[in-house]
Amino acid sequence: MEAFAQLATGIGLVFQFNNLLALAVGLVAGMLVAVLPGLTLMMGVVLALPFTYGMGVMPALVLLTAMYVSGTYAGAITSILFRIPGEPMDVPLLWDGYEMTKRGQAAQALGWSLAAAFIGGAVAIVFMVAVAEPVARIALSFSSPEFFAILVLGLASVVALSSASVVNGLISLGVGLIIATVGSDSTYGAQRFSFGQPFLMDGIDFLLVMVGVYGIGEVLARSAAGSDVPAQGRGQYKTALPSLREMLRLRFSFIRGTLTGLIVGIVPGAGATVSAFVAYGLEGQYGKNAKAMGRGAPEGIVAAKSAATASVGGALVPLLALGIPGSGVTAIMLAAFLLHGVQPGPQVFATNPTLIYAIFGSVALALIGMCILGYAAIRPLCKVLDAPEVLISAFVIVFCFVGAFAARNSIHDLYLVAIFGLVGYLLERHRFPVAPMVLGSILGPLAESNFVTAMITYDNDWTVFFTRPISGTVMALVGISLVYPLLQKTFRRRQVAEPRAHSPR
Amino acid sequence: MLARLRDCALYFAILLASIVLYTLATRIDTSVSGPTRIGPDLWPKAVLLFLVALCLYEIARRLLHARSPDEPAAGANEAVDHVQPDAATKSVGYNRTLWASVAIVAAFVILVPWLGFFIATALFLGAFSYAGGFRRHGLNAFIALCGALMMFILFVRVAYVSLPLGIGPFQSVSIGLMRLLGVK
Repeated sequence: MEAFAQLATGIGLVFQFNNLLALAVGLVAGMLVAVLPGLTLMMGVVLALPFTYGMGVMPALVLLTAMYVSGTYAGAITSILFRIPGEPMDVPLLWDGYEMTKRGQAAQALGWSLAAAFIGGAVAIVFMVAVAEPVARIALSFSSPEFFAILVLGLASVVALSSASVVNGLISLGVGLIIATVGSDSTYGAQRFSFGQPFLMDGIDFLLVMVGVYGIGEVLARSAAGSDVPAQGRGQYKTALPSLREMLRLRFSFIRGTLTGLIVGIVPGAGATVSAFVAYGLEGQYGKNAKAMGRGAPEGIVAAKSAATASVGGALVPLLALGIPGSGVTAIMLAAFLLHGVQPGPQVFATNPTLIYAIFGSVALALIGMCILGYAAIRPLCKVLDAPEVLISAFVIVFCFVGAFAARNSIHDLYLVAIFGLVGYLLERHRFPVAPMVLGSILGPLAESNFVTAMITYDNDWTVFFTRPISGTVMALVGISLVYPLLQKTFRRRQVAEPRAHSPR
Repeated sequence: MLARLRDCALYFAILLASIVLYTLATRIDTSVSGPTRIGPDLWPKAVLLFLVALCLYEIARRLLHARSPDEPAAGANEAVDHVQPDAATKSVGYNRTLWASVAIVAAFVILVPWLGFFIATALFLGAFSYAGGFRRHGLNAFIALCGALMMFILFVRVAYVSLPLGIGPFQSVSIGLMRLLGVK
């Protein structure tokens, strides 16, 4: 109950002028990046990061949170109206949302999407407020072996979830971990892989990896792939909200989607995309109207969208309570925390609870703002689709370079960003997931320092990670998260091979 | 066989880089940690050995086992493929665009310390849009100039970023522009 009283205080804090301004800017920016072709929410949040350098930590995080919340909705508009998924998480909306548009029910589809986003988000806020502090309290009793095990779990689940090839995911993670070792090490101050270059002696900022891979790399990937914009939904710019009775009819779809989003969102690396796909799959299996899915069923929209928005709350819990990002965007939020000298985790709840509850408050207000903007601003949001993608890409690249340059005012950082951009593109082209590399470069130093501290504390006894109850359990989960996809793949191959073996020749 | 080797090229590159870095890791100063504690070289060495093992495994797997024709490519995202246009038919044009984009990005990074942010950005925006197929030259030039100016104002006046000013006459242009904006 006390947590909800603190939430009210947090909401009050967001009403301060600077925070409210940041919230408004974040809402509009989040909507724009989710709608614009060539820009993803992740890229948008990365691009916003340099503008937060000069802000206080609270407005900076309010801005990024608002972007995160509104960005998870706006992509639905372009998916439903134009068959352009603004974000990968919006792909399931094409199957039912766009089908409804083709039948002239675009307004209804948008209405279902908005209702689902609101309900998923509202439940996520309650969940976040209720769960985050108890989790943080438990985490206070953790020591370095437990933290190391949790970090390994975070990195392993990113690998497991981000790619069909676990080996490629692990290689990508290894590259990120090695990038993080460049410069002087945090325990002893010894120089590693700096080649006598002063600009490498301070290490490679993970911001450069993030901006290069998600910004430049993504633009290059789109240059190589090209894109076409169909125009089916042009002129259908309005939202028709479903009635309460209609919503009650789909209550189980709402519940299934929201719960899936919360649970999957907590898993590090899963985020909104995985949540949306899993929820859509579950709806297709267990939903009342499963047979109509993919042919313009509102259940498909409700499941995917409520899961995507609910995952925001799920992903923020491990970030705030444990300091481990649950999604790509929360990884960037972690960067924002660190840039402002705040290490999220259990200690923050004791040292800076106002900041945490202001973030919760900003999620609540952003949700309301998202609904208002999503309902009222469809027409101008769709207008930005007229901008040629190549122009947007050109501006994105300049923003990326300035963002990277601004952190340390070093020209060398520009070279590094360009290199990481090319590396990111090449890895993606060869079907290596890039998320593990980015997360490896962010969490690598934390994992190493916890590993070294544990080894020093426990006299170089590496079994400590497996013999302590919590770290041992977490390490077992690491094993499962890496082995499960391999088993699944083998099982699927057998399934494919068996009918072929029995088929008549 | 050549196709399989080409398929392994990136793994060979990562393997080679890992071996080179491992050799360099053996030269990390371990005296700082004392004889009983683990040294600063252990973590990078462990990660590099892990990378070597993974690359060797994947190279061996790819060389020894041919992919069955019906096996989906690793990491292929069916959902995204479902909505993407048929890229294969346009790949030649897109590849040209890609490499032109890479060259323009590289030129921007190299030239920005000399030309300064404003001039380099204006040239970059124009060239990148042209390479990407935007052929309305007048509008392109207008957007490039206005865009560079807008970003200059945004970063200098709003985000307080100390942008590269360039050298010689280019520096004079940047400083003149800053004076016009009232920045000292």
